Parts: sequence; structure tokens; C-alpha cells
Amino acid sequence: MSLRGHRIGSAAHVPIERFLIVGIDSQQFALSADLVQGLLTMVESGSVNTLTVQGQEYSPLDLGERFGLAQADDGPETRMVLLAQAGIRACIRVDQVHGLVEVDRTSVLPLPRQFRNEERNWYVGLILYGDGVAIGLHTRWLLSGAMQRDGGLVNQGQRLPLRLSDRPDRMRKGIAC
Amino acid sequence: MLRGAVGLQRQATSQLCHLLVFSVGGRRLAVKAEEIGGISVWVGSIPIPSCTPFISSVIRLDQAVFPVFDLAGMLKVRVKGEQRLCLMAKQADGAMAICIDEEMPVLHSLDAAKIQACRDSDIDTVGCFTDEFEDVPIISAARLGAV
Repeated sequence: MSLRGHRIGSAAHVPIERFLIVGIDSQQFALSADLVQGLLTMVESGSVNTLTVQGQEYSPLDLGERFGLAQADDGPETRMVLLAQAGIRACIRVDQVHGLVEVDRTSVLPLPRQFRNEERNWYVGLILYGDGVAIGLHTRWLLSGAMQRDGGLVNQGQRLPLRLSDRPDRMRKGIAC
Repeated sequence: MLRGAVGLQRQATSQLCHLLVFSVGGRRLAVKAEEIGGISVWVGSIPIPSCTPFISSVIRLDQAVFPVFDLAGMLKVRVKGEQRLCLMAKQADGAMAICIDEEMPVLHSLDAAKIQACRDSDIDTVGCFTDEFEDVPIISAARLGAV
């Protein structure tokens, strides 16, 4: 498994957004790369609920439970994704990390309007990824579960390098387009 | 691609209504042909966690993504066949896909006066008509999924 970046779309003057594509159950979700502080294997994260990494606590967010998805057992591809924004820190267990993508903002398709209920607050849109679709998760909604527990501002200088902890050299190479 | 039903043509003086008759889980339904954007082979749907009843997946066709209305789920049946078909319903909010049985839909043209109110229907219909087999409920593709 690698975290090589893929670029979708090539317009020169269109704002680019970066997403980390992760898999939970059989679904692909896209997390804004700005949120992602690091990745840990299950061995590194241990069996504790709240992770403490470099002195910072990351509260668990159970996306599978929030979405009613099947909980797979830990496997070799299972990772904990560390997230932080504006002082809110959380970690998400994912079955697989597919990789980083850069997409033109115009390539993030809006959720079809037939989706009329609460889910409109959950997603920023749909991202064409491979032959399928990754669901772009809304940052504010994503971290809302951890918001009540945490406070303070994240020092962005403390951000961990975004990497696969079992292959730490990969992410330092940056996004290969 | 669509077979025309014989025996239901009416004189030019009557107001013709064009209906597409299809089946979902073996249950026959009709929809106004003008509400259908096309029929194609069903491609796998991609689940999207959702609170909207019967709309919890999308299909991707090339660079476009369309919501899927789970008509079979609403009817409490299972779509039949290995080569399922995709009915694209025209809606004000954009096209919406419906997975239907592999049996090819049939285009019926009939006098609009033959359309009657549906009795004992468990689904929202705009009427029904009787063909040589049975009463066929007519649903509104444009209203599917509307709250």
C-alpha cells in the first residue's frame, strides 16, 4: 500500500483541493488533507480509546457507527487517521488508506439534490476516484463529535508528517502527479 | 430497443398517452414515457449513507454521478435477473436512476381516457390502466423520492 498522490483534472487556474481517500467497510471516503495530522498502524496506536501522540490527545470518532457500516476486524491495512482543526483533535479507524488525491475544486461534484435530509450536512460532495466515487466528508460535521471534548488551538507547527507509519519514507516524497 | 405493444393503438382523434411498462421484482408498473430519459444496462451502485428514504446510493456513468431511487425497496421486492436494467427518470432536480428487472420495458400507447384511478394500490400512483393481463399502476417518475 502506498500513499502516492494522484491528480484528477488538469486545469491550470482552478483551485486544487487535496483529499486523503480512506476505505471503511466497502465505501470510500475523502478526508480533507488539511485535517490529517498523521497515520498510525494498529500496533502503534495500541488498544486505548483516546490516542496521545506527541502530547496531544486524539478522541476516537467512530465513522462506521455514525454511518451504520460494518465493523471489520483489524487487518494489515487498518490505520488510525489523526485529524485536527482549530483545536479539535480526533482519530478515525479506517480499514484501508487508498491514497492522496489532488482534485480541481470543480471536480468535486455536489451531492445530488434528491438527497434531501441530514446527509446534506455530512458531505462536501462526491469525488470521482478510480472507477468509483469517494464521499467527501464535511470537516465541521466530521469533527463535531469530538468538538465537545476538546478545546484550544492546534499549533500547526506540531503537525506530524502525513505518512504511513510502516513505510515512513513514502509520504515525505510528496504527491507524485 | 423498445417493443411497441400491439392492439392498444387508438384513433387519431383520441388523446394518446405513451406509457412505458416495466417490472420490478416481477411487479408490473407503468410510467409516462416523457418522464424517462433512457434505458441502459444497470451498473453497480455505490452506497451513500443517507437519511433520505429509498435514496442511499448513486451510480457513476463516465464522469457523471446520478442518485438511485430504490424502487424495489419501496415495493418490498427484489429486482429480478442477471442483466438488470437502469431506467433514468427525469426530475426537476436532475436525472435519477432506478434499477428494474431484466425484462425489456414495453411502450404502450393508449387513449388517456382509459387511465383510471387506482384502487387498492400500496404505492403513490397517478392512475392505472388495464392491459390484457392485469391492472397496471402508473407511477410518476418525476415525483419519486419527493418528500
